[in-house]
Amino acid sequence: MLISIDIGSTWTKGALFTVREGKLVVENRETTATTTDDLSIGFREILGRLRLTAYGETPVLCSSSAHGGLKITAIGIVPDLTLESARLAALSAGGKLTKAYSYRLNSTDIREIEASQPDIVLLTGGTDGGNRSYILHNAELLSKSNLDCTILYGGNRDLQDDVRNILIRKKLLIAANVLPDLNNPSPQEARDVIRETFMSTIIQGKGLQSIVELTGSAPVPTPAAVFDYVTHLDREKTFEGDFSFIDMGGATTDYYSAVSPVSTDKVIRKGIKEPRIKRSVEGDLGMRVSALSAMESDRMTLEAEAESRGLNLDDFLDYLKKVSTMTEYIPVDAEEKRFDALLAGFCTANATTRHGGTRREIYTTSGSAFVETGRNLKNIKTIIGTGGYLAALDDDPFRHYPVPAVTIEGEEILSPAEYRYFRDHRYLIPLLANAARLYPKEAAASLKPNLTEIKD
Amino acid sequence: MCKKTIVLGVIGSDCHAVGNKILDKFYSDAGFNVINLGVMVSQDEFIDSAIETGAEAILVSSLYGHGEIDCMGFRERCTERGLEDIVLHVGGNLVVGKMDKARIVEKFKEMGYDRVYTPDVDLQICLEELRADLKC
Repeated sequence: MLISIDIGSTWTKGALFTVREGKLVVENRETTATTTDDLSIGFREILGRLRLTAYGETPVLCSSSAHGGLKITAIGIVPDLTLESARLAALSAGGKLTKAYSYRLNSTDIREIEASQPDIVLLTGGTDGGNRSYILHNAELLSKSNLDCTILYGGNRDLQDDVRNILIRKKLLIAANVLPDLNNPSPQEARDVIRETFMSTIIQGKGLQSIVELTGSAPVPTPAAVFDYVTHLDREKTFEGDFSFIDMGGATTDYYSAVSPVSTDKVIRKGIKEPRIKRSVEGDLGMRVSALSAMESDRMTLEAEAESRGLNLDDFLDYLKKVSTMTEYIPVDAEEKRFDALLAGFCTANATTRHGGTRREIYTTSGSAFVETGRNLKNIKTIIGTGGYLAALDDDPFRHYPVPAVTIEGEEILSPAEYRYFRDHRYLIPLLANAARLYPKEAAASLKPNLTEIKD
Repeated sequence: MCKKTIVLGVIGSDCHAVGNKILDKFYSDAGFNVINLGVMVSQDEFIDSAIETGAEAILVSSLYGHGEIDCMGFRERCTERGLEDIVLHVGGNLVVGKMDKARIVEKFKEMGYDRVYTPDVDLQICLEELRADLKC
């Protein structure tokens, strides 16, 4: 038996699992409101309830995404190269990107970073043997700042000693370069260091220390657990072909995908190589706290959609304003449900567009070919909706709000073409992801039986 | 041997890949650290890569006849993005139709390219001139 507890920003969820015939079977499932001032209160309550039905020595695994997780500021040189690699490392570690800076920092940037109080500053730049000047400049400015958080250097390897000397008075950690050469992003080591830092620094305060005493280990960031879970599911070939998770919450929409590279002579790839597993986080797309920022991200389109559905625009805007301050609000009538459905469709479609890439057709002397930028999601055969709203929604959000076929510039959007949509109706994914730390195979085998397919 | 880093690629919407691979092998064998971006490379991709890799020269190829349009403004863009000292070489079938070789060289030099090569050039000369430009 094992107990898995996930402390979310709104709800603390837990499950008691038994291991039976290679699967994890849910014996008990409990939920309570997250106690934000002292997270251990809600945690203890769930633990107490689950222990009533447990017997013997039961290991307890805990993940937490309360307070938005680990705040990371990423610094790189070129936005599409080292900064993008730094973003990949930060997001795959389960972090929350507060801000990203390219090229040379200035004193205003430094003040902004100081004010945002990140847990980690990830300083990158240059391939191995590559650029020196930007990195030395940025390290100098960081050394003169008031920052007392961890600074993780994951840039040009040649400069590790220089950076160590410049940042001698800071809490400096060094990882392998996130982009050692242009063709091979390598965010793994930086990601692992970020996770270790999360474990050792984030647990101070908010009652997390007493959770460590109860469970024997620090809670892992929920997105990091889910990221690893996607990796296990991919390794175990749980789904046929590529698959993705959309985790839409009140504040953010997370998109995880496992995508195998498609290479033919007819495709010319641009930009850095896409990793097999990727997480992207849309901090402006969400059902409650981010309802207004979601609208602001593309007001014209959303208003046009609302009108085409015969919704009253003023009422819709009032609704978005209302729910953005009431994080636990549940719609009371049919109209409010339609507002929520529109917002949900808008968020999932946009999260998909941003996670995925684009391509355009060109004509060459040897026939037509495609120039492809970003991630190709066309071969995704399975999409799983999770997070409070999508777990409860007995529908496929894309059916009512399809991802647009082309961008404003006329490029084809590489979104899933033919797929099956499932919902995580018991909202088990974070709990299974957590349990996968002890039972990766069993947790991977237990997902499918707990999903509900939405059929036409 | 000169181990300096150079960026190589075929500019614009040009898909000619064979010459690009030959140049990659040739300059790598000569000791350079070649960052080959392949075909259909935009001006910004050349510049982005040169910034991150600390490259000292960009070697631009064009074969399909639109070289003049694709190559225009490249020197200015390099300067604007902080690569004011970068060495720029360009070569290939740079313009459509029959144009006098001297006129082509003049045209591209005016655009700010340090060396301009037409298809009949001996690669050994390109190599020697690159070494001279990079002082190595």
